[in-house]
Amino acid sequence: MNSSLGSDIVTGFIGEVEGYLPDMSRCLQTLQQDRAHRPSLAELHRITHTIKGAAAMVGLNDLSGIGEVLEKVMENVLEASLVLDDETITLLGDATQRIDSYCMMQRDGRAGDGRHFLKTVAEIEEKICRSTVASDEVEGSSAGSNPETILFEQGAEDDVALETAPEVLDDFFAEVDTKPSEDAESIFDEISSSVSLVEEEAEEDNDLFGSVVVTEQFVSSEERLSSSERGQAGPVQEGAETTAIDPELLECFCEETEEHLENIDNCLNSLEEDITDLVELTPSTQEILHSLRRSVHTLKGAAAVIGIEQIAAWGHDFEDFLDWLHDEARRLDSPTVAALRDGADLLASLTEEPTSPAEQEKQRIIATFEGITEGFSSNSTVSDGNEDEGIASSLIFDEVENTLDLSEESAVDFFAEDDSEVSEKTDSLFDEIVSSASLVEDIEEENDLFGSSAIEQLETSEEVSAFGESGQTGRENAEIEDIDPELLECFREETEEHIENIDSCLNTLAGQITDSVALTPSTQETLHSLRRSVHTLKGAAAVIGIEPVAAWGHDFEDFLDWLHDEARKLDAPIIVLLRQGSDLLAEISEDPSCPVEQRKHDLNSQFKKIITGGVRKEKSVDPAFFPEEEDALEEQQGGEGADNFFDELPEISGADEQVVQVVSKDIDRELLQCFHEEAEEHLDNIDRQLNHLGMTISGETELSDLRRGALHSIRRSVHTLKGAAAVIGIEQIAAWGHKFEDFLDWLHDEARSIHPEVVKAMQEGADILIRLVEDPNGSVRADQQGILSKFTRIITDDVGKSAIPAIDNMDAETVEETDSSLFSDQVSGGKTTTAPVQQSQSKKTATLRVDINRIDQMVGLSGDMVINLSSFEDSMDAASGTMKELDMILQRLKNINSSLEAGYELASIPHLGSQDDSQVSGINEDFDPLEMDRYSELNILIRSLSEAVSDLDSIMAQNALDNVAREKTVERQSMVLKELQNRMMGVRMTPLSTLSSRMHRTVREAERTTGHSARLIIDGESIMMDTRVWDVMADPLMHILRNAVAHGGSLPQKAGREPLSITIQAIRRGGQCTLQVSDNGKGLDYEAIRVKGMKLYPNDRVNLMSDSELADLIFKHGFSSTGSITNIAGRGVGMDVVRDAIDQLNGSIELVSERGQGTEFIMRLPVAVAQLPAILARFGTQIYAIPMHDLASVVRATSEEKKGREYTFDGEAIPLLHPAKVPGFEIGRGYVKKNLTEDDQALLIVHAGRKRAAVLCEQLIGQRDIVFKDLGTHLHNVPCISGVTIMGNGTLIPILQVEEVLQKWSSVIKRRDEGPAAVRSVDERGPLRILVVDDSISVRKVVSNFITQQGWIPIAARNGIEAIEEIRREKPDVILLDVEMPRMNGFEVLQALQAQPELRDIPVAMLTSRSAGKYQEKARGLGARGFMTKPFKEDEVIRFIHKETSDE
Amino acid sequence: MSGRIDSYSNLSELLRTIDQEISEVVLEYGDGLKITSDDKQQEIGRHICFDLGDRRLAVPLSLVVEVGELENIRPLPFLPEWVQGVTNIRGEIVSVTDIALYFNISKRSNRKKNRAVIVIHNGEVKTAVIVDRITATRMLYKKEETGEDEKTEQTVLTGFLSGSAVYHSGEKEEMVQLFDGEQLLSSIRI
Repeated sequence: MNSSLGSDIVTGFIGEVEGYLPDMSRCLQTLQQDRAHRPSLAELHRITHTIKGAAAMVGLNDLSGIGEVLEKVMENVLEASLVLDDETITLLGDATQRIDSYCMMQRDGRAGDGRHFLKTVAEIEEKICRSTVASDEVEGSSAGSNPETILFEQGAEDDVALETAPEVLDDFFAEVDTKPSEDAESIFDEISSSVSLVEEEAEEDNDLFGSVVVTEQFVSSEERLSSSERGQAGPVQEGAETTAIDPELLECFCEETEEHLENIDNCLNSLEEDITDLVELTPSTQEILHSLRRSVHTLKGAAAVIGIEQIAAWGHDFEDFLDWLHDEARRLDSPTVAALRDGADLLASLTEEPTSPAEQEKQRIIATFEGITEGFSSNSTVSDGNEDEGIASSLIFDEVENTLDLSEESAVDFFAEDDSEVSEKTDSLFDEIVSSASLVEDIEEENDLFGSSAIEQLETSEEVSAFGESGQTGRENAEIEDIDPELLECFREETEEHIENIDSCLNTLAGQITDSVALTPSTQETLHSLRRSVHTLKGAAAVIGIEPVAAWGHDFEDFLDWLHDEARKLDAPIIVLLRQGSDLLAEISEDPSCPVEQRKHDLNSQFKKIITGGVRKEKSVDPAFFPEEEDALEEQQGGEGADNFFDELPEISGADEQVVQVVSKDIDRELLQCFHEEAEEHLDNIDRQLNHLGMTISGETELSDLRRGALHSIRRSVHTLKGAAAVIGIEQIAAWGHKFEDFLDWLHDEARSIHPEVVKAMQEGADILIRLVEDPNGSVRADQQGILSKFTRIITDDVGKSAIPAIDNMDAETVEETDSSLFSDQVSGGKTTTAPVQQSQSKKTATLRVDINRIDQMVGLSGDMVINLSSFEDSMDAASGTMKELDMILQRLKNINSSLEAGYELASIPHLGSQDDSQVSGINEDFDPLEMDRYSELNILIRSLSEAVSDLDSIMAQNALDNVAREKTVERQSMVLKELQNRMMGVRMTPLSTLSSRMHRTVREAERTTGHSARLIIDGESIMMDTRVWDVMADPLMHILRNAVAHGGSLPQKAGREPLSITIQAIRRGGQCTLQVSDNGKGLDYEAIRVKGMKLYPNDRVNLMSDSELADLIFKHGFSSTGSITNIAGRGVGMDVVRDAIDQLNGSIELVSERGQGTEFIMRLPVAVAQLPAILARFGTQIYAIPMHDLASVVRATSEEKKGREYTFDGEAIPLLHPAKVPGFEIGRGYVKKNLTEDDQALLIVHAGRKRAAVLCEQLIGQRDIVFKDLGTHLHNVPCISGVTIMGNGTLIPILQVEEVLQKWSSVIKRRDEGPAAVRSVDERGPLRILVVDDSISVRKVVSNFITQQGWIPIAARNGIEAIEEIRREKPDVILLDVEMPRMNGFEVLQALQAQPELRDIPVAMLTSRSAGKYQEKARGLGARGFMTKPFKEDEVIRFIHKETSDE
Repeated sequence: MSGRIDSYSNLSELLRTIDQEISEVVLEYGDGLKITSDDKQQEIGRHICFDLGDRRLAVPLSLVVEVGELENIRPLPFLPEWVQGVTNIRGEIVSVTDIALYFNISKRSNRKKNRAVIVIHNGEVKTAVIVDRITATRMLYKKEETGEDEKTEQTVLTGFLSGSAVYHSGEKEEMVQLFDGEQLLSSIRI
């Protein structure tokens, strides 16, 4: 058996082993003296391990086996699970000697004495078994396993009935092996019948655990048969088999096995620790069992793959038992654990020495297993399974009656392994399909396959899938349920990986292939990886038995095969298809029973189409070689080609729909957002270029380089967009982008001229792209078709044109390329795609997308900084003021000091002073006063003063210097801040051109929908405005444009009208921007507006309105003049949206429309939202800010002009407002009169919408850039005030809402005109309503009567509760309230009113018979304004009412 | 109403300590003040006590954002009398509510100058409430409702009082009335 290896290697190996032997004996000697000498133990372990491994490598399996056993002994010793006693050491010594002699024999060239060796192995193993069990110290365990050990020991000699049967069977198998004849059939019948007998018996035995036990027995008996067969087949054959195994693989396997065995060992150890008695399965033991099972399973699988059938077979048996233990058994006891240990040991030994004759051991353990299984299942009596088994086996020859069916059944059972339930259908099917002859063949095959369980599985599932394909889907499902859950789990995991890989491959492909391109090596590779994944998946599914996955995998793989091997090109639609295919695969894998037949079918047909299409494409080039043919033919072919090209579209997208929807849901939202942002840019570019083209091309024009540049730019954008869409997975966009790009390619590369129609078609194409970007699932297919046909027509036209004049080859080639480029889905990608991409990348500047809110916050902060700085500046100013004062004081001090010095120091010289001095200063008499200074107190004081002054002076000087420095810093800071603020504002600024593409599209859409033709001209696209302005204005502008087209346009067939032309003009002046949207259409239909207005607002005297008033109507909510609602206009939410948006921006809108002369909207908007320029002016006492955009002009007026009610400005008489006369703006007592003269007054000409007015202000303060702030959380709607701004010194300046001021003014005027009776409220129209609350009906009557006489309306209430209700409902102007009333008295009513701010201002007069001052006080305290005692005088009441209502 | 420092020169001092206490309380208890039960009297948390007219009122600290001096009120037109206007509290615009006027306790003309504001905020509405004087922050204890409470005249204010409470000042128990700031905030909505 070593023949395959070079003898020199063996010799080398033997030498190596012999080198180890002395070490081993030395170690053993050491151990004899010191049992716990760990280094020696470790050394021994290492050596045995090396011997085991090396022997296995060189093929000396015997040696490897003994090495393995020894290693295990050492392991056990090291783990302390085996006590190292003298016996063991002797045994080890013996083993060492045997190895030595073995080496000698090998060296001498004699064949290895396998038997001799095996004996050693068996001995040692036995020893280990015994020791291990003994060390467990579990009586039950030793009781359970010892007899078996003995049994095993005696196994060679004692012929127990149990053992005979297999042996007999072995004979049979030997026969089968040698002559695969008819005999085999009968033998198999017998075998299977015996199996079935076992099954029946088992079923009788136990109904509860029937199926599992049945399986168990089936498998085990079958397995046993197969293994015994192998046992018989002899070591020679097996040795050959083992050596045939790739050594490298084997090594891998060994390593893996080691790990698993270790795990198994650990598991068993922990189980042994846990389970000392019969216990219920706890989750933790369950887990251990699970881990055990997994290891065994993996080991089994690996062994099967490598081809070590012994291990696979035993692993299988073992796993079965573990399965049962894990799933069915509810308890666990130590014998079971011991049995498990036995099983694991066997597995381990098999792993080390696959050829070792472990049959008996296996038998024994299986018997133990079965004993345990039955012991558990039969609950009470431990049925002697062994004997059952034995009897069953011995009865094999008696039972021959169940022939074909049973054998089939068992065969199927065997193959399906875990598929214990096999439906009747299968049987019958099987009956029909499999004839007896073929059965024999099957069996023969099966015989060959007995060893390898993996192959068994494969075969099984293939068999099974063969059945499945006969049309039994139901059965498939049942099948899937039957699949081992663990296997399924493995499969799922694997599937996931593969599907992930497939996905990434597809993404790569989609990224690479945005165009139809030839296959590059890298795409080939991706395809290959794709195919491999699909293939593996398919294989795995087939092995496991998930037929739907396998089937679809197969189809899919076919297509991939074709793609990989045959196809030379790839394009986006194929990728899309692939993606669908992989999606389907993923879905089936997840839920194999889901109904996918339809989709499968669809995809298959598409695959076929592409495959055939690919073939046809190559052919379709041919006709293009003959452009000389008649134009008609040419065109026809073109058309057909186009049809071929385009007719894929509906089908693809049809099938796409579901998938796309699924896919688009799956798309990462973040990705999607990125994509949208990117798309927006590209779409803008496309639109800009198209517009430019549209402007410049008025007739058929040659394509200049410039225009080609534009086309190129468009193409690049479309291309990038398409690519991005494909990457993200929005197939709709990718698909359309592709078609569109094809056309653009043609246009750029082939076309020689361009005319407006082409541009129009491109615009429509771009529109579809935009719509798709907005809503990928939107139904645009019809439009797509339309535009595609347009493209085709254009191309064929152009081709026709160019084909006629040019017959030479050059042109022929052009045409050919044209055809192939467009019709074959595949454009010569390389050169056209890569170059633009690079170019666009190099063009890009570094940008960063930032959430606008963050910028807003920063803008706000910079605004606050400006405010803070200016307040700091203020305090700096104050400080320098103080400094100046200090300086003056210092000067004064200096003066005083010098005069003191001059005047008094001199005077204090003694001889000039009194004589007393001379007496005092006797000491100094020796000196002349001029010789020596003498100091008096005053002198000293003066000196110190002058010192202090000079100190102060120097400090002041220093301070002045510092101050200058500070001022400079502040100045610099303010400059920087200003700059910062401007930059921050600038960050928010975007040009009008961001909107222009949308506007163009809107107009085009409106054109399409209404049939009116229109042209949009945008002037001032570069005007920058705050992003928010554009955001808010976008919708209104679209409304205006749609309206302009819908209302202002006319159908082109109406003769004599120019096409509608709409002009948008943006002009920026200072801090405000004017947007003018004008058209030359029909203008406002004033009569229609009037009719509609009369219907909608019957009270507003619409019939008398002037045109301009009518024009204002369209801004009202819910106004729409068109009778019918279309997509374009007529929903009644048009112009009010415009108005709202402009209000929101603190802007203004004006509508000018001469009848029949078109319309013009003039919108004035602040450039920046956060900051707006405003004029500060004093109205009444207070200063207010008026936004610049509301101001038209500021004028000084003469006092006469100021007095009138109107002012003439620009030749127009406009109302003159004096806000001081508007309540709320009154001039207070102080400031104005004291400080201001009439000369300070100025007239502000303001405009609110169309209205203009002159507003008189007391003082103009100046213009400032103000930061808009709202009024806080409490005050939301303060009339006339839109917000406040904070000045540098922290003071607040309200910002005036000019329009509301004008309204207020007009109500003031009205009130003044209409007299005092109607003054009370701005909203008031009708007569006063007066609530009379009294419980006496007569009082109510009397009061109501005189109220009615006054022309007012009386409302009566009987008590307080009613009164409150009436007050709520009617909001009366005055309340006359009785005090004593049922349910709720007058005071309570008063209190309730006071609690509600909106009701508090209603004047209340008490009408009561209680005249006592106490009552009156209380009423006043509660807010009553009048107190009248009954009987009251009518005059008094009326006077009260007049007084209260005319006040304010 | 600019710089005025007279009898309330210690106001700044007081405000500072109050602010400090607020922050301490917030630190200690978070926003919702911890309410522990006492043997006899139930603690109802810290309150800011203030005078309004001749009443001693208290508002729970949880409603209070800050207290401060009243300055730089900018009146606005077309607002009810009791909305004094808006003021700028560190860049934030806050309305100023004169609850004395709101409750009709005093007339505009006779109200004292130099009053303090308590900025209250319930998550939705924030307003600065003008009070006559802020006296202290105190831990208040619930006072059992005894029927013998002086039946004062019914005013609008009565509807905004949610009971009375006591605090310990030395040996004495002082009584304050609990002012329902939440109700105020919801009723002053414009």
